[in-house]
Amino acid sequence: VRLEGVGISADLPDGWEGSIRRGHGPPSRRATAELPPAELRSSEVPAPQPDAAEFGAVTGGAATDGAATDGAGDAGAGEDDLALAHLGNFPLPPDRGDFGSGAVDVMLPRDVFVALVEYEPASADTALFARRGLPHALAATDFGRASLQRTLDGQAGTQVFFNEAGRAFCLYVVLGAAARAIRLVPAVNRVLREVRIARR
Amino acid sequence: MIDTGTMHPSAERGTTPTFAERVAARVGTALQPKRLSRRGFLWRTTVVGTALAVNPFDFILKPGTAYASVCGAGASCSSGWTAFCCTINGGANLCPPESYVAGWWRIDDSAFCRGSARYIIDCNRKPRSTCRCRCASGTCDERRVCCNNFRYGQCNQQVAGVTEVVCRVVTCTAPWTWDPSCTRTVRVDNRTATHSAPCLPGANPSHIDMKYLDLGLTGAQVGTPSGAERAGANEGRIRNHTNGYITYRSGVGAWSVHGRLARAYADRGLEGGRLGYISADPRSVGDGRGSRATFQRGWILWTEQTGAHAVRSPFLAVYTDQGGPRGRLGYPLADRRSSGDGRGRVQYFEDGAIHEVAEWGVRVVHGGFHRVHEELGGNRGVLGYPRGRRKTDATGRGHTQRFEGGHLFRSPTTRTRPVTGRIAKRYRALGTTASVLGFPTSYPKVLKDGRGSLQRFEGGAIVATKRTGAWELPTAWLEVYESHGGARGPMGYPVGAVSAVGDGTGQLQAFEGGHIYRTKATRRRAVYGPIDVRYRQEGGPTGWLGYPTSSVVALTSGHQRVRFEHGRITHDPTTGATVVEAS
Repeated sequence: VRLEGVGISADLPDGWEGSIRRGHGPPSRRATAELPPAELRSSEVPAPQPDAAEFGAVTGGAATDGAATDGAGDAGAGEDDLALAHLGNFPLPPDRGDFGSGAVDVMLPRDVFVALVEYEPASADTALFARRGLPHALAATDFGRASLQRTLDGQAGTQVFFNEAGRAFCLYVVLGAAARAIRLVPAVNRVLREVRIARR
Repeated sequence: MIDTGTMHPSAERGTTPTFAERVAARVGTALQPKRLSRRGFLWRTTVVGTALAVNPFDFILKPGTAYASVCGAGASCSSGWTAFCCTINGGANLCPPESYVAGWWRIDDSAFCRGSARYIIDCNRKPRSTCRCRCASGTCDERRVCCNNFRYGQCNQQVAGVTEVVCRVVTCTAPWTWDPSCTRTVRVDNRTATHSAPCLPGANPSHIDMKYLDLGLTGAQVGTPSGAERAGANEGRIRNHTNGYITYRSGVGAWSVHGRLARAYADRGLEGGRLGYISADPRSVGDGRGSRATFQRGWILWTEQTGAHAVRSPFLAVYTDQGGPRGRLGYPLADRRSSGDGRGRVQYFEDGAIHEVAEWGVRVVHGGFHRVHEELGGNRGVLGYPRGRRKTDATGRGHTQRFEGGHLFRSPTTRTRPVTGRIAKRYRALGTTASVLGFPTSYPKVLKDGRGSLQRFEGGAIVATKRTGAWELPTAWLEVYESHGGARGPMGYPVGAVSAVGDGTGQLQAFEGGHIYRTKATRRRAVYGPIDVRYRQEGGPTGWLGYPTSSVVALTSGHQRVRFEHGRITHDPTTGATVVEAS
């Protein structure tokens, strides 16, 4: 299955699912206008998404990257153009925090959760995002039991801030079981190698 | 020790308990020891109230304690979340020492922020400091401290790397306004909507409570609350704190003031005074000297040197036009006051003043103009109130400002000088600085005879008396005039300006006692007394004698003589005889 949207594409292997959607607008707007993200399991038939302007669409569906307007002042300039990608080899619950809360709670030891979170372009030049390029070859030693937004027993995570194509991102990966890192990390790398980030 | 006394209102009434009363009873039972200290009683009351406000249904229907409901989901250490800063930082809702603002997320439609967005801000360990992973204790917020090696990443992006989250700050204000190091990249996690702690305000807080939260609770410069929130003037709200005030009014918002600025606010009647409600938080002026508090109808500015003083409308608009405290005027030295003459008002600043009078409105006088204006008696002196703004002069070289009694002028090469009275009237008629006179170089000087005055300019002088009027003498004419004694000499005061003679070749200027005549060939010559009278009888410069080729000179014989182009006139002061001779 191929996911594409907001200048990001990902070819997911069987058993994986995900979403690529735009960032968040101001709270008042979000409360009234935002729809749930496009979600697909690879076993399901891709279908055109109802709101391609708001979310990344599956290839073959509606157009992507339409400009969403943001008239309120709470979000930053161009906020709606920032990407948020969630990938996982388990059923992702619809109600998730941007760094996977709600999803990591239900992970089994064999599960993997990947979040690719974009920041405003100006951040790409800062020290935090100085690393160039999306990592494609994570090592098991990159993962730590404490490297998690929410430390849950047995899990391990890693977080890498980087810039690519003039854009700033954070890659956040959670393994369902730290003990299975040797087996799970190569699967993560296979997915990461199929992720493309385009210049905006 | 206080006996809490557990009889419920319904028992007193003899009726069936209401829903809320059943809740309260259950909570009371759950938390009540046999006897409670006053502190314990207050603590229990807070916990119960917050529990009900946050989540009344969960609390009454599900087993558990009020603590669990106050602190929301995932409050245990094993839940893996990070504790709130106020839990571990002495009640302060601020990043503790050795931590920094590293990122944030948003929770939409939060009851903790009256239905608006709530923001959770991570305080991460500073890269070269240390901290120990542990569980918070002492309240139901038993979440982790300094354990989760994670970064949201929107703040302080100049700091590379990821360190442990020490604790979490909560605000109802957007993080990029709370801390300018934060960017606006929004990350959302609504699954953390119930996360809270006893040290944080409960659901549906007042606007003042939310402001206190954003200021840092016990870590706020405004200090802790020292009284209950109360109604203020014009349907607003106000709360006293140990070091200041927080006020709220619809359309204005909730804002604070603290320290010396707060004391100055209190001295001026708080929200019921002329300043009205606070309309922005205090801020440093940015010059390393002072700070400013902003109100509906004015500012209070403070420095160590000047103290705290208010600037109110309509002076404030003029003051800000002038650049405020970092502008020409500097900080106020006092509040606005009556000018003392029953006509206007004045406020003094470090390097100027703002004046107001009905006829001319609000006017600023600053710098050298201010100093000279004050030197001359200010509004009650010879210059009176400023009529106009300081502006570029007619030549574009300098500046001028008009007052009721005259003008002030300065240029890069001449200092500030006033021009007043008759002299000012003549100077204006000539075109002020664009005239042959240029800028004034001296103050007006009253001459020793007490009859008149003289003021010098770059290109001459103006000499004036009440009887003769004010007339200018260009420099070359002035030199001849003064070489013959000036106003105290036989020439006396000028009675006219330099004018052309009818023959089209010469000029003259008339004085009380004579004339100065000029042609290119004969230059300027002073002729006065009986010789000038006789010269005029002989036709003057257009007569047969022609123009004088000398001024009046005293001969060794005691006679006076003037030579002309075609003759001479000699006067004998002893006999009074005047002799005209052709050359």
